[in-house]
Amino acid sequence: MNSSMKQQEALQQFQTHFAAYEERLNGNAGSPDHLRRKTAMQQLADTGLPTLRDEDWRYTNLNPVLKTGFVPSTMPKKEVLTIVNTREFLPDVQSAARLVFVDGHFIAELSQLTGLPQGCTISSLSSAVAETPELISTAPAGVTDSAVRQFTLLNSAFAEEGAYIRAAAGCILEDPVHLLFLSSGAPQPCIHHPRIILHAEKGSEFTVIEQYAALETGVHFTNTVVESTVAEGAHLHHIKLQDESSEAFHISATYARVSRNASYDNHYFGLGSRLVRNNIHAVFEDEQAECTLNGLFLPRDSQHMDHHTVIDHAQPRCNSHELYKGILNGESRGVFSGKIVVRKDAQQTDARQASNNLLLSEDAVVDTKPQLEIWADDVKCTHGATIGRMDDEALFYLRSRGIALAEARNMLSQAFASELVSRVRNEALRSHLDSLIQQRLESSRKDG
Amino acid sequence: MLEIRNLHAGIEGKEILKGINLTVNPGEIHAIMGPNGSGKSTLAGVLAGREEFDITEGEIIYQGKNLLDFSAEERACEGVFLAFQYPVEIPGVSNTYFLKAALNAVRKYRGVDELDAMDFLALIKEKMKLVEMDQALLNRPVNEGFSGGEKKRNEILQMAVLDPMLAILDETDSGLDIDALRIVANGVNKLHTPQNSAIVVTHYQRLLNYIIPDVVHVLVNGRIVKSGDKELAFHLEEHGYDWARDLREPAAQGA
Ligand SMILES: Nc1ncnc2c1ncn2[C@@H]1O[C@H](COP(=O)(O)OP(=O)(O)OP(=O)(O)O)[C@@H](O)[C@H]1O
Ligand SMILES: [Mg+2]
Repeated sequence: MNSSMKQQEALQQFQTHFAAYEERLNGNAGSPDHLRRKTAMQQLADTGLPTLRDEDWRYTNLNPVLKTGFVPSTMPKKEVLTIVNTREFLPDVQSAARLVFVDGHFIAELSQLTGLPQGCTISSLSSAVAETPELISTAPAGVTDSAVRQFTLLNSAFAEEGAYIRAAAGCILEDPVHLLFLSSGAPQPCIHHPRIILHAEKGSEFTVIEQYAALETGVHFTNTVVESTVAEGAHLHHIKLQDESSEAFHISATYARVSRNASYDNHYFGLGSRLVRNNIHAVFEDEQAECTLNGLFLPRDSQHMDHHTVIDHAQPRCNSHELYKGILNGESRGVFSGKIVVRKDAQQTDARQASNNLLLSEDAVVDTKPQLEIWADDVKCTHGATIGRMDDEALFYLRSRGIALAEARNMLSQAFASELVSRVRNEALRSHLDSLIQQRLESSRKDG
Repeated sequence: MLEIRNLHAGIEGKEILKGINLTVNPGEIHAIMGPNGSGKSTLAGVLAGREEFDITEGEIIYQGKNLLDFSAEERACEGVFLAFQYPVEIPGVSNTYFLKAALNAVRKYRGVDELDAMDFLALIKEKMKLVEMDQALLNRPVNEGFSGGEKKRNEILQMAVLDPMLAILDETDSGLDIDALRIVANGVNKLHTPQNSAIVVTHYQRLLNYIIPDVVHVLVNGRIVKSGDKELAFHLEEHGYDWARDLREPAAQGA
């Protein structure tokens, strides 16, 4: 496969890391774990890293990522860990358990895993894999989509840590499980590959908050893979809050397989990182399932935030709802590409998609691309995309009632965002999101 | 209260207001009538601080101050209120939140303590009675999905809450059924005091049976061509505007 110099060099770098890992294996060479990683690395080498020529990557130039020489992340220093107050990242949100990672490493001292209800397994990935090595696959079954494949393979080759959550049949967890990924701003740009595995067994229900935040600014690369399966009648609520350092790179692939009468919802809130590429790939594996993908991204300065989603209606009588909104400031760039596939047998599909974008500055750009592939005939599919500036008439209305211009602008942006915040079920989390968004909008206003 | 002198205003090189002269004294109610497109809403918008219009000549003195020096929000805080001909829908902002933000902005400007949630709710409940508005509309987003009549009542509710010195009502009667018209007009009358003034833009004499104007002006093609007492409204109702179109000279100011 054709790939350019940067891609080649980066790939070689990853191969060097992999060789170093293999040297440390000693007696474990040839283990299933090693072979699986080796296969992933080999497949990645065969495919090559994506370039702008790949249709799925034409809006996102990976050169800034590829030309940064990343090193595998090292265990953070003890001094770093003592200053961390894990509660401050999600104040007031009551959680059932918390797993904390610093630079990709699981930090047991900062985590809270006691008092879990019967039937619920929550652990770090490493301890889960120690018991069940085959938990990590090369790539989730059925994933051939090039948009997500390469970085998933990279993750499969290197993933050491992450989280494993399994709710046994009928197990219902009221409070969310909090996964907190912190970066220490280590001087050497490091790369980590969190792997998160979520299993909601028959009739179970739980909520996961996947949060990324920075202790200090600094360059690093997070390459996350989340694999979720939602069995019959189960409900999985997934919230992702991405507020990494503004110098960081963030690439993720989130897979969801949703079974009969089950539901998966994903709520994304993106504020951080210099370059973000999120991929979500949801597949209906049986009838009458439901999938909701909501996203709000708020880039400023020269942040680049790219969101690719695929919802695969592989089975009849399933519903999907998708709403992505961008509020863009500075010279930032936003991308939304939402693909909905309705397979031949997926009759009575109901799929709704909307992408609405608010440009707060002259220099911000957003590309939005709905893609519908419909092979069934008895379906309801709607999609719509808007890109606009702030409504002058609404601004004047607010001002004519005494509300200052700056506050009026803020109210309208906040109102635009509120639709997505209001869809989050946890009230404490909603108010935290509201204040994060408000802060972001206020500071963008001062800068821009 | 208000003195408009030789006001010329337009947009994109097109002159809309062509020399308006108007004096409104404290306690007075003035009605402005005129054919579609004559410039009534433009005048109202210029007074409220719409920025899209260029003021090419003239001045507006409001309570001794040069009104054109103030931004839209400052004018509101200074006591100018415009009830919109077409109230704007603002999805995502609840009516209560909006009213509270507006009231507290105005109070802050006027050097009065901001109201807390409790006191605000008490105030709003009292003011809602004035326009007989349904409580449920408070929690809905501003004007979103409101019926025409509900929007107009919401305008008068805002007026009641902000307590202006100069209220400009731009066709507040249009879209109201007979009962609503009476309720809204009653609300306006109750808010009227010997200290504050109102400019009422309307097409129909009917409203003026409820809100009795001190002066009626006829605005045609960007000029006030005739001013008179409330009988002038009956004359217009009967004879239309054709006769007025021929009046070239601005009529003498009545008061
Ligand atoms: N923003 C604008 N851009 C261009 N033309 C405008 C604008 N606003 C007003 N006009 C023009 O100015 C003229 C006066 O409009 P205005 O809305 O003031 O009339 P009006 O007297 O309020 O009419 P109506 O009785 O229909 O409400 C019209 O010809 C209108 O098209
Ligand atoms: Mg008008």
